[in-house]
Amino acid sequence: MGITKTPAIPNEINMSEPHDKNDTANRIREKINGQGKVHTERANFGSPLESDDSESSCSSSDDHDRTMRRDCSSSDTDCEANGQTIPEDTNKEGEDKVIGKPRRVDSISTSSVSSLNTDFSVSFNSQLSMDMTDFRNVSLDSESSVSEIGTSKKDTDGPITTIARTFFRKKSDVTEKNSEETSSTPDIVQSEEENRIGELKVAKDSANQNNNVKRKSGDVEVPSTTALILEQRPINLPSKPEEEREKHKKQYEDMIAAAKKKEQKELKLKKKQYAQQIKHEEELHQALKVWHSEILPHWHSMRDTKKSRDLWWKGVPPAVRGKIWQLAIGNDLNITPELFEICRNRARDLLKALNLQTEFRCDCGNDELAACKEQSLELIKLDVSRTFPQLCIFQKGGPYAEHLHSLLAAYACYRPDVGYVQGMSFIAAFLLLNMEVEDAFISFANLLNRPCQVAFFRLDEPLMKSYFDVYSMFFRENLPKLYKHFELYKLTPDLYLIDWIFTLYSKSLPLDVASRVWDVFYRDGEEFLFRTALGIMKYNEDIFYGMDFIHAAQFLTHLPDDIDCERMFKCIESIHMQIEKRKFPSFLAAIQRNISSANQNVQQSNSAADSASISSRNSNYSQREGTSGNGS
Amino acid sequence: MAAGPYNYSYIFKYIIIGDMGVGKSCLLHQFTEKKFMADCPHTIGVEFGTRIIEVAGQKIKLQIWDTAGQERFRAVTRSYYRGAAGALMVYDITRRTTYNHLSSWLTDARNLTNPNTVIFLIGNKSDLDAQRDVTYDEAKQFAEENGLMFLECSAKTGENVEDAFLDTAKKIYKNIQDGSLDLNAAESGVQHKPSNGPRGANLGGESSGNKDPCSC
Repeated sequence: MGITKTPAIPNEINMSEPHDKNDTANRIREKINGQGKVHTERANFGSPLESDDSESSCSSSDDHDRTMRRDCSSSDTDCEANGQTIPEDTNKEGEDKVIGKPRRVDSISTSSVSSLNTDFSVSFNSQLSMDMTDFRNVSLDSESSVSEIGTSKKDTDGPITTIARTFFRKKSDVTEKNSEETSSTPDIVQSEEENRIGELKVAKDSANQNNNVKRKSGDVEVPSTTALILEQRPINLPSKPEEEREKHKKQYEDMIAAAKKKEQKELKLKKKQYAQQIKHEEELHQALKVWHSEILPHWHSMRDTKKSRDLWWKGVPPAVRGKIWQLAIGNDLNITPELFEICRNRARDLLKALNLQTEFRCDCGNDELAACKEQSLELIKLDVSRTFPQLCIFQKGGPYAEHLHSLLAAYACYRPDVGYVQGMSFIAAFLLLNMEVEDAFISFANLLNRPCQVAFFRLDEPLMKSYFDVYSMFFRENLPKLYKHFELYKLTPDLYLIDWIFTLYSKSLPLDVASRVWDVFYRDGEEFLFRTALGIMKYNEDIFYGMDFIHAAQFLTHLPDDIDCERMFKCIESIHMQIEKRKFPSFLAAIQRNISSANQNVQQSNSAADSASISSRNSNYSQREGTSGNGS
Repeated sequence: MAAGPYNYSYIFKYIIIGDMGVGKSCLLHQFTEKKFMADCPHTIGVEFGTRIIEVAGQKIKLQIWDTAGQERFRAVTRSYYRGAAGALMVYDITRRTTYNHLSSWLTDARNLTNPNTVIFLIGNKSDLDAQRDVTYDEAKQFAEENGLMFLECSAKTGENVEDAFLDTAKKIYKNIQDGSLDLNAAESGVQHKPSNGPRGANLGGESSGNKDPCSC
């Protein structure tokens, strides 16, 4: 089979234009919004999609963009820096990885990479001259090195790869496949690599020529060689018997035919995906028009009409997403950008003071300082860089790190009673990806003022439990069999819902799916968060039946990143949020009424509050522990 | 990661606790995947990991609960301690505050688990020796005073990570062998050979799973 594999030249219907060196945030936003490359290409023709997009997303100053390019552009730039004229369409497994510039050399040993590098370039070069050499050996070599590279790709999962993983959704993107491969840059020591670039460039150029010829012919052609059957045997070997010659010829032709068939199949699939992508773009384009011309100008009268609600369900176009979110969240708190500025400055001063204080390690009695310390201003720093690490824009020195930090710090000053709670950074970051920092702050503060968010971010356990309880009711109603399974394994909702609700799914779902969840969350309110959870259950229902406690728990806290957005929304749609004509809020209100009356009772007969709260907490949350200690 | 239909004789529940950003999730990731995640997203609530190890010829499935470190989440994470056979208490050798908070973590660990729970103290980020803020000796002394096992580890290089998890298991196994840990007691955190009976109540839901059909 060596033959069919070694000519690693992918026979793409290459739709990839040279990568545009847009700033990363733009691209990331596109990815988040499920827009592939196609979108960008279309936009080049002046589609309003793009113009709006860039308007809203390029947001900050030029300075900013520059930083972004410098700091976090993905390996496009890296390739550009080193490979100079490397043609885009020869992106082959491995090669580009070999060429890429090292970003970080921390997780893989240098020597192994460089040896890998050598292996590959050697085998690649020999590949091209394989007519002259023993083909079998070469093919064996290159195959093994390809697989080695495959492994290394896995091992060196840097942030870039992860970006590619997350956003370049293979299913919807045809063209992104190339860039994914490009992005998978293993860490290589530069000096080693410079030696190779020359060789590889030559190799690539000729490969590229091959590729061009092929594409012109319009048909699939499998690069092949007859070297395997050795028509011209070396003189020191006896010539091949006729039947053996025939047999080899036949085998060879079969192999070529099989390879061709496979390539054709892939080509067809890609064409289909491309067509789908175009269609999707078209729909989005149409939707955008409606949003722009009909809904946005008459927001208050239009927002609850069937037309907008239907359109809303399908996902808000990225170009207006930030705007719609802002409008839908509203500003009941009447926060002004000035207030944000004040809070931000205050946070800055406090942080400075705190730093001084820590230097002298005194617990001096500035109450405000102490309170703010309590409210974890310092802790924000720890989490900012651990927010969407795969995007590389919130990390230290990243273009959005400062914004995210100041937003969270300003909020901690604005609401010292809430302060910073883990999970907030994901919400703030997600807002920042879609709007300006001032608007993000206003939306963030208002969003966190919603009853469900208040309950969770204040870690009000009885209230949180009320949500879990109502969720469980709808779980049993909608998915009785799975509910039983979960009950059997004592997989209680707090184990996974806390993560989902705190971050509004932005941490757990792929960003394009999460964006759509946010869209509808703003349409339907908190109920939709729990409906989404049930949608996830339904989506994975069959998988869960084969899992025990720990695997299911692990699965739920690390959802796979290849979720099909459309199918997910079909699952969510099929969840009914009504039991015997009673809806989610009604159940919730009933439970919460009980809690408050119970609280009153407790207050009346109040004694030994602390120990009681601990024990009630334990009984609240530890139902999964059960009472029958049947351990053996 | 544990995968495939392994047979195992025991299930041990572990819990990992400690301040924010000390590297709890990274330690777990290093242990289960043998990889270091430079920037791993912070944990909200709890996350899980599992791996099958071998102690004295016995296959043991570890069920590891990795908790959120923020003080504010303590109320929630306290409910996860119950029924843990092992508790890994982590601090960051480059941040003294994380060491100073150990006594409060220890209090929780003592109060919320059973007396036989093995508590293992881990000083993480030993690769950053230049930025060290807590000496090995004082931590060692703290561990001895409180009867804890102790190692300095690095989730980044993997140094000692395996040992910390395995030594905990060995100690638990020893406790089972010498009878100090009663498997039948509720909340022992250990479940013996998966049987066909109802799930081991003390393990938060492990059931008769002598097969792990998934490898998620």
